[in-house]
Amino acid sequence: MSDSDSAIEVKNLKVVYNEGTPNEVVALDDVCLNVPKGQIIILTGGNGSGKSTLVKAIAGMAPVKSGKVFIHGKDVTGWPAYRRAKDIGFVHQDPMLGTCPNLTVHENFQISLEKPWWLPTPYPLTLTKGQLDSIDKIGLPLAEKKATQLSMLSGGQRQSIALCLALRKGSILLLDEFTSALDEQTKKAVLLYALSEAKTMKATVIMITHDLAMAKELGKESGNVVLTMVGGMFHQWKVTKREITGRLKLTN
Amino acid sequence: MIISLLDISLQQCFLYSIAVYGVVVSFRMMNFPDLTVDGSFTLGGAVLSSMITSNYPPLIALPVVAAAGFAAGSATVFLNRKLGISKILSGILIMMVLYSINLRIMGKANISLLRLTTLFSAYDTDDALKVLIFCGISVFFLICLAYLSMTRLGLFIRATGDNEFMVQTQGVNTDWLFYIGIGMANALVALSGAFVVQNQGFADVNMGIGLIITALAALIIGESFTAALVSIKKFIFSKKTIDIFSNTKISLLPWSTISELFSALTGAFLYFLIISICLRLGLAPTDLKLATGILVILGISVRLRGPMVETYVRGRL
Repeated sequence: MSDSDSAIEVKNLKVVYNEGTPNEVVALDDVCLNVPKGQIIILTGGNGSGKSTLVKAIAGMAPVKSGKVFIHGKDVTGWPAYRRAKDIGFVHQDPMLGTCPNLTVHENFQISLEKPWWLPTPYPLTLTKGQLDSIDKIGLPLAEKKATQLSMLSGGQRQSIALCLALRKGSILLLDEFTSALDEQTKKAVLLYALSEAKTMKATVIMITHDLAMAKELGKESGNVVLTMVGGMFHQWKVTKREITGRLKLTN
Repeated sequence: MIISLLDISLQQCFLYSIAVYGVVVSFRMMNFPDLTVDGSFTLGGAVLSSMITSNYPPLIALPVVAAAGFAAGSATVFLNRKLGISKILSGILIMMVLYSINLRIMGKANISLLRLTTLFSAYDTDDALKVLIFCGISVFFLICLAYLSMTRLGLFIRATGDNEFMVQTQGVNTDWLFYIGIGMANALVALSGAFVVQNQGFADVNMGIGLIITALAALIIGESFTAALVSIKKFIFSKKTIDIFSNTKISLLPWSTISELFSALTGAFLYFLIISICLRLGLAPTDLKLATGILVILGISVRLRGPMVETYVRGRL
């Protein structure tokens, strides 16, 4: 068992893609990370530094060779992605991956509800008025588009729905460059919405971004931590705030 | 002559439409190009005919047929999900394996059901009543599937066909959905085989060969027909553009799935009507597969220019 007040704990994680083939890539080696509950981490770093791999390994979508992943103190290393999804909301960088294009907006929301399987859908949307309003501000009038097929919406709108679905899911939110498909203005609105929702839900967030200016701006807010990942086999974590320095294991 | 043509096509279409529903579930709802159906159709006929010749009542044989079909579909899903064989190859493998299994079940290449009690043997003389009963069976399965697609399980099945990754990130084990969906599709196909055997009075080990093409031909013809109906409706009500953004009403029914099921039924009818007209015009029965193939090619190529282009953009079939 692990420290119970940490939301995510990664111990000596090693991730190898295409193992045993000439294309073998060691994406992460001996990485340790301990994220307390309610912490917001902004993760930056160059291409290929293993940011996405780390987040995918936490969500159960990367081939973990050795090491352990704990979520809320439970060892989930051997769990498949769908079992971890009860605690984890994941937003992928590709807007096409987070939603079902041939279903309507309303049907997409139905999927995340916990209801008996034999009853007919749809159930009423359970978003609050405040949530609906803030989604309106992002540029997605949900109330008007409930019956619209998702393939009719733009990438940004689909990404917003993927974010809403992830926010409804759990206490941990993993955002993998989810704003890369959005325009500048929508990007900021969606980011701030995600972080404010996460704060009111007291969710733990790991957010990957390539936008360094944005990362710095968000890092100024109290409580947020900005981490930079440097590529290669060994990873050095550069911590700009003090809160979790002691819990990071610096390798190499 | 028209009456007899209609009669034959109606009888066949209602029984084969159940297999087409199965293809709708696997190809359209789950996006799984499942070729097992060639084997499971014969499997249904084989199980039913061997049970009837061993003096089991047909009503007890039907659940066994459905279970056998479900097992065949699950085997395909097992090969695909657990052993990592591609969807098409696992379907072909199980189809091939089923050929031998069907021969084992039947004991010989064909079994005659003449003078044995089947579900329909009481109505052999009354063709109109027979058509009515077949229609009832087909509509029963259509309503069951329409209800299923309304439920949460149906929603999961449709969503898995649409974007499996998304369903997984919502905490659902998609492997089970594939077992249920493809199993159910093959159970429907096996039941269709069992009904066809009881109607024609014999089971043959080769009766399932090319069924997938027949079912797809029927489905594609039906889809083109439904699309034509929709455009006629739009023309009559002169609604030139579809205003998607004013679409605020939520309908309880998933119309896309229900129109697919409706297409399956009408397509099966049109297909058998076309085939019986071809036969009446002097086409040799051995050329039927060629005619079916040409029909599928025509159906797809005409539809590509027609109003159903969107289906292709979605990458389905």
